[in-house]
Amino acid sequence: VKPPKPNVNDLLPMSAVEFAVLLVLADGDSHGYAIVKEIEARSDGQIRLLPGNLYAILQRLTDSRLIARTATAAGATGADKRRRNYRITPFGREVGAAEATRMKRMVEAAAASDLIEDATR
Amino acid sequence: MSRRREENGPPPLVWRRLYALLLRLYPEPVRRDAGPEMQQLFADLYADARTRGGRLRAAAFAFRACAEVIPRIIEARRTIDSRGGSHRTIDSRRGNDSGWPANALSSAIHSTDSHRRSRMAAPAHDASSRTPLPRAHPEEGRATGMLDRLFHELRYALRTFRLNPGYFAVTVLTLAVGIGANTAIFSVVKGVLLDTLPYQDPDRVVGIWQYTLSSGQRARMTPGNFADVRAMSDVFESAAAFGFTSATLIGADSPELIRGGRVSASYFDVLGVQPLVGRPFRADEEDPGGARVTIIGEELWARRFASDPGIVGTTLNLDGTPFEVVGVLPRGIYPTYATVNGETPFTPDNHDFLVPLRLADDSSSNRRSHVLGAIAKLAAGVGIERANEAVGALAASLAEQHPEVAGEGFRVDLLKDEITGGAQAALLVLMGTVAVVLLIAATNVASLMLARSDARRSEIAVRAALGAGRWALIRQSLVEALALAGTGAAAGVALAYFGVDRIKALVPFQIPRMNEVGIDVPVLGFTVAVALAVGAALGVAPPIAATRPGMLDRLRQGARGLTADGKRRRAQGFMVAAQACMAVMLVIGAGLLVRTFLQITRIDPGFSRAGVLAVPVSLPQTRYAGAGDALAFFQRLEETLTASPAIASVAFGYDHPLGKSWGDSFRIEGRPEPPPEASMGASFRPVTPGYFETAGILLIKGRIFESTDGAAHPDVVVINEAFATQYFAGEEPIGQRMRIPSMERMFGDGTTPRWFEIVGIVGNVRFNGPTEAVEPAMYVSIPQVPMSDVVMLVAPARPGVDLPGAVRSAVWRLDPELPVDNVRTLDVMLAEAVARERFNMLLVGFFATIALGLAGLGIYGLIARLVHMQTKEIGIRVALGARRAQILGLVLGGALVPVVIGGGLGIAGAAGLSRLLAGLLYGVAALDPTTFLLTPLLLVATALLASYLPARRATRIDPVTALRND
Repeated sequence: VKPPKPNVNDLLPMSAVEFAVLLVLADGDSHGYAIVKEIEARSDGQIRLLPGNLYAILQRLTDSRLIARTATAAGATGADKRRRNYRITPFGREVGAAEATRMKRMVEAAAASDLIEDATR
Repeated sequence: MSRRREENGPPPLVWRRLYALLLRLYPEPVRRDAGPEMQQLFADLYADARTRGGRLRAAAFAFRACAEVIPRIIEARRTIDSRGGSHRTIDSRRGNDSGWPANALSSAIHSTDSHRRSRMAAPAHDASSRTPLPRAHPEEGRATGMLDRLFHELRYALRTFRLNPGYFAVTVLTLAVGIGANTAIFSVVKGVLLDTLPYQDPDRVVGIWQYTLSSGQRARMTPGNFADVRAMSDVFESAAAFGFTSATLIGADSPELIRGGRVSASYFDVLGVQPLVGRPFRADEEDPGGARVTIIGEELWARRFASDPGIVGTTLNLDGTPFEVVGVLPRGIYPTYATVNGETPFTPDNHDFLVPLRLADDSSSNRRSHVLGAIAKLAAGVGIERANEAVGALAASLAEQHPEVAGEGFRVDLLKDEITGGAQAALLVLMGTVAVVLLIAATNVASLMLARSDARRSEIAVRAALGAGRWALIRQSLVEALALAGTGAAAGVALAYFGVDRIKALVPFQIPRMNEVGIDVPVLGFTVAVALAVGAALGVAPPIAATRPGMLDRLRQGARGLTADGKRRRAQGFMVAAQACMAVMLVIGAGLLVRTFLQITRIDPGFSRAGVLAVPVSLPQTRYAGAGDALAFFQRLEETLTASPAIASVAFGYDHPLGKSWGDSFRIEGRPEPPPEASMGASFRPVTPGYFETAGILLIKGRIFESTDGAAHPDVVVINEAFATQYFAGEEPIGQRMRIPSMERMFGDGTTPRWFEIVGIVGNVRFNGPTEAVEPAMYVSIPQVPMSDVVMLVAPARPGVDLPGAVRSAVWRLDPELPVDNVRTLDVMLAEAVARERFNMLLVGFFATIALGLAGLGIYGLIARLVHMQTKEIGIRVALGARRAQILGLVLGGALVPVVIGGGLGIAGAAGLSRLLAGLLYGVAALDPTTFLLTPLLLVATALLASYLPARRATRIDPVTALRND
């Protein structure tokens, strides 16, 4: 029994960290360690995910079909076999884009309320 | 190479196991799905933290990662739990397909409720689908149910901790100190006392020693006697001899003096060990003309050869001679050498290399040179008594055949008993000390829990009223206490992890096998057992008392009797008395050890040592064959060094003032030859003229050596005061002459007499360390008794000069292939000589201080509670006109009475137990009055300090507020 494809808007807003993970995967397939390092670099060391948290996030994103595990390379052994790769799905890109749009609207709203300068203007 | 590997290698076993253990707590599907991946990520991030911030940062990461995963496991189990029950009752915003947690913030990421519910319901409802049932066995189901109930209790406990972070922090820290101390000391006890030697059959491996019947002094074996022992095949299955050796390893790096052992080929059979790679020695390699082969130690193999297995078959340049490497000896194989006094040091030194022991053809007739250590494997079925009888018979027959060596006996001891030696008493005292610290800590926590259960009385009453049975209440309390103890144990292991390194740094060499000590799985097992015991004791006793059948009903009725308060007070007073008692015992023990250490540091070692450097100089026979070559080299070295303005003086001696040198016999002119068992002996010490001045040894009478005391002049000897007292009582030693037979054998034909005239008397030096007896010594002049293996003493002209650097460059200017290492100052050596006493004092003192602090905390808790409970009473008294002093007396009296009672019992207990310490004391009586009188004052001071704050609060109670407040 295959459940119906979820509605994009049901998944919004995304949590900041989940969105960050999705953005890393939007740039290409990656495994857990690389994702942690990338997010750490992008946040200037502010966000350091711990293993338990990262895998809870990856699992939720997988459950919601935003990302998927890629098959392990045939010859992989040992550590490389245990480091599994993740890839963003087309649906994940859709949701990511929707979330970015939502955020963009909020930024525009903030600018309209003179909270910040509108960079796009 | 090896360093980099270490930095980026996997996390220490302890962390890996702990993390794997935690991952196993995840529900089965999650564990199977993500376990390896998370374990790998944990290892990757650990290596990352280690490269960036070192061990400390990596440990911090590991700790956070372990802590972080616990709430996630609880969440994951909760989702599985709710899935396992009726699907209608689940909180739909929490569950999901995988059993993974979904926190409130991110729950929006999930699909709609309806779709999720259908997904989750699928395995339970759709009987026609092929989905396997999640629980195949009913047993498994029951176990999971139990586990889930425990998780429920754990969640409840964690929630109460979150609400009382202060209580949580204090109890966990207190337990961490107690459990950490026990873990650290147990790891030492296990590594030193409990771990068996890495031999095939440790119960059959023995050491065989000779000893002087009259004095009981142990000595090494002579080659002749060893040959006889080796022939006793009915008693010893195999026997091997061993002795010290050193060589200069010349290679790509700077020349290095390596130290190791010469061993019989049978050495490997006796111990039942195999080289890591390569082969043991062969019997034909013991022949004087056999192939030159060596087996190198694992540590040297790793340090200089990057653990390359290809080392076997290559050649090493030792003292300029090529040696073929035939194998690698694993770490931790003892003994490789024996000291002059017949001790086998179980330390990591002298493990660089082994060469076959080659005895001269005539060795079987040599019954005078005590140079060999001997080990053997008992034949099957032969016990230690039987072996001692056999060697006793051998000694008796030898005494008949060779009257010149009469008065010597043999002794056989299990090697595993040798090892524990002097360390056993100190370690057992330490183990007892930390056990008491843990008791005090646990008492404190019990007291805190008692106080809290008072505060939670209404909560317990509600739970009881809602029908919670006695067992449920006990179980909850137990889970809570176990959670506290578990967290305390985890923090304690972290403390111990760093503590063990500090302990190891305190005594690098004085405790056998200390280098092998570490926190491993059995030690962690011990910690878990301790934590369980503490948790069970803390968790079960209070609720059993609180929920006695009658009490439960009263709780349900919400009763708050005064009698309960009285009982609580008594219980708490009892606990404070117990703590005071235990703390006093520890502090008295520590006081005795501190006084011992002070006594020892006050002993005059016999030399002044400010900054004097001792440098072993070992000239290889191959390049310094003649006696003149070595002397000339020493002279040039002395000239080069003294030319430097930084150096005041330079001298050479066979050994430094804290070295044992060797003991030798002598005869005094004009006295009849004594019988063999009463032969006269003294420490034999060849030195150059400047030795006494450089080392700061005092001249008492006569003169010291002069530059004219060379080979062409009459032989002279300088004796110490002990020599004069022992052998010249009432006579004038100066001017008398003596013979030293071994000198005649070494430098002459062995029969022509060589007379040494006594020209001076110098002060006694405590060669064997400050606590050892002064022994007679004779100093001879190195130009007259040439040595090529010496220690150079270098005295600095002023403090703060880089002596080692100057010495190295001077030596290498003269001979670039000469090793200069193991360079230490006499101050450092003297400190090492008292390291064991320092170790005892520091560790017991440290733990006693902790015990005192914890007891102070307990007293503080008691008085604070007394003040709190008596607020109304104090208010009434103040209202009736009581003065501050009276209030203070009321409060302090309540606390000091148990302290004084406990302290008194502690003094009595210490008096009874201090006999156990007697072996560790020096110059202090076990019932030292100073210590016994002063330490109770320390306790009283602590008690007053601890009661100051609450007592002050009591005196400021405003009667109006106190009485209105009901």
